[in-house]
Amino acid sequence: MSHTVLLVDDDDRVLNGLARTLRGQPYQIYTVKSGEEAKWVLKSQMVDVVVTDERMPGLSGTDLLAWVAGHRPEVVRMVLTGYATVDTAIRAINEGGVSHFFTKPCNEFELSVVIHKALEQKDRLRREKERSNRASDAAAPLA
Amino acid sequence: MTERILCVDDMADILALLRQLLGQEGYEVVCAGSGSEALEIISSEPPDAILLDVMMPGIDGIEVCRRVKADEKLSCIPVILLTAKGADQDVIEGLDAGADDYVTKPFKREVLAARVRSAVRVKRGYDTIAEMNARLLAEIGERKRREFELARAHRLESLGQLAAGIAHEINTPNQYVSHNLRFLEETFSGVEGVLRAVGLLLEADRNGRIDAQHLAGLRSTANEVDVSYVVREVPRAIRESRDGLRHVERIVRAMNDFSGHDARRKIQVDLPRTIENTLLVCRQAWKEVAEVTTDFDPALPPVWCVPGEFSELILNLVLNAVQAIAEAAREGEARKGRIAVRTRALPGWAEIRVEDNGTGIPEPIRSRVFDPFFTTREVGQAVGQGLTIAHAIVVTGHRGTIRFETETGRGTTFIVRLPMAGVAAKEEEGSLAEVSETA
Repeated sequence: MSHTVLLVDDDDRVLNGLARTLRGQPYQIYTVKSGEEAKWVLKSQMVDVVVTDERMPGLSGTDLLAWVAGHRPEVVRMVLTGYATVDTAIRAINEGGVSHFFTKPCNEFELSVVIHKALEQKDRLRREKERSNRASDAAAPLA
Repeated sequence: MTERILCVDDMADILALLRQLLGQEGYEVVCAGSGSEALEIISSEPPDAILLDVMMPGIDGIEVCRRVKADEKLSCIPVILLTAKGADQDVIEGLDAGADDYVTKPFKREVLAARVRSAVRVKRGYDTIAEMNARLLAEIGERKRREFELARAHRLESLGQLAAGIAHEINTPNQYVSHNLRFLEETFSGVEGVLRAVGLLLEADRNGRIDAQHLAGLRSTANEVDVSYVVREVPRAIRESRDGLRHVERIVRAMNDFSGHDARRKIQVDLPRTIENTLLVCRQAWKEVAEVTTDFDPALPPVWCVPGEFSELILNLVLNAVQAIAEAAREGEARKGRIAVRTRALPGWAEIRVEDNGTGIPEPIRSRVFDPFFTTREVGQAVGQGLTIAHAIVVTGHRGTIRFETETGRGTTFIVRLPMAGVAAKEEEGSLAEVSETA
């Protein structure tokens, strides 16, 4: 099953750099330049992980993730910011339910490992859910 | 507290009489037998009033009186002259020398006592005023010190904000430059295999023995490399990395320009360059809320000013504009934030305008925006010193003017004028600031 990672940053050089280093990874990468575009992608595509910058014109990273938490709770949410304040970190965790908070410059290896683990976890959850669904389907006719 | 009265006379019996009389009135009495002795006592332990005989050998009473009244610290001590009956000339001369009152000898005890009581009352009034004055001066000094501390706190606060923004400005290029290097490293390891295979192939060709094995080797390494991707992305990665490093370099240079000058000295400053640098240094503060444009008059020559203070002026006006726009956005205004910084050469003046399309300044507070610590923001958010500092920099520091035009709901323009010829040309003292409004 192929996965999709959505990268959000208002600086396309950051997006290009991320896309280049994550290119060999076994998932599709989408890049968008604003929170509004990200919402649009999330409404129309299957996305497994969102990694977003915090400070962007328009919708901020935290606001975007709060929206994702409300509308696409199954999507794993991560922040990648150039300047982390305690305040933004707390908001991201409380309102956006983020699983990981990276600061720029972030180590590309660490980033790919964290994304990889998040995807593995998602797959495991999905498999377990499918198994329990099958089990209940199998049990149903007996009832 | 008992008042001390100094009695000065060359006649011992008069001194004795005065000592007894004033002692009965409840005063502490000090006696001097000559003008010079009197002056010594007055300067070492100033009394509360002086009874002074005019006719004395050596330094006479008039001279003693003149010297006491000439001394700023002693002039408040009331002097009552003791003059001989009918010596009108002594009275005139004595009063002209600064004496406060006179009593003719022989005197009536009650009259003398009443005169001394009146003199002591005057002295008490003086003392009270002097004390109040000293207290006020101390309070003013303390207030000035506190204002200075707060202004410094504000400066540190805005520098702290800048530091956060600058960290962001530098960390972002750091991020993609390091990613691009990693990408180039990985790409090269693939390309390296191809290059080695090509090398082997060329060597085989020189020896005239290319066989299928060589070609297979080249094919397998070449298959590892996505040629069209590499050809497209490597030059881009290099170009973007170079952009990033140039950006870091520009930021560092702008920071140097912003803070590296001799803090107090006026030099000829290229305003556009300083404005551009300041905007770059505080980019993080505005880039999310507004688009900033500049419009510089090419006819404007360099202007005499303190570069660090000028940067701070622009910083404060821009941060103020950012706040007005952010405020408008919070109030639900949907329009895009715009800040324009313009310069214009006027006869004898350099004009700088900082224009925003924020909330505008509400009517009731228009007269207070330059007041120290006046702020419309929540308590604790920031000390309201930005515009006060701007005002001080322009008016006190550069003898310029600062005013604003504002329209509620439409925006505000701050208009600063700095004299072209520097401070020497402008002699006007005090605040030249004016407030004009377009309703």
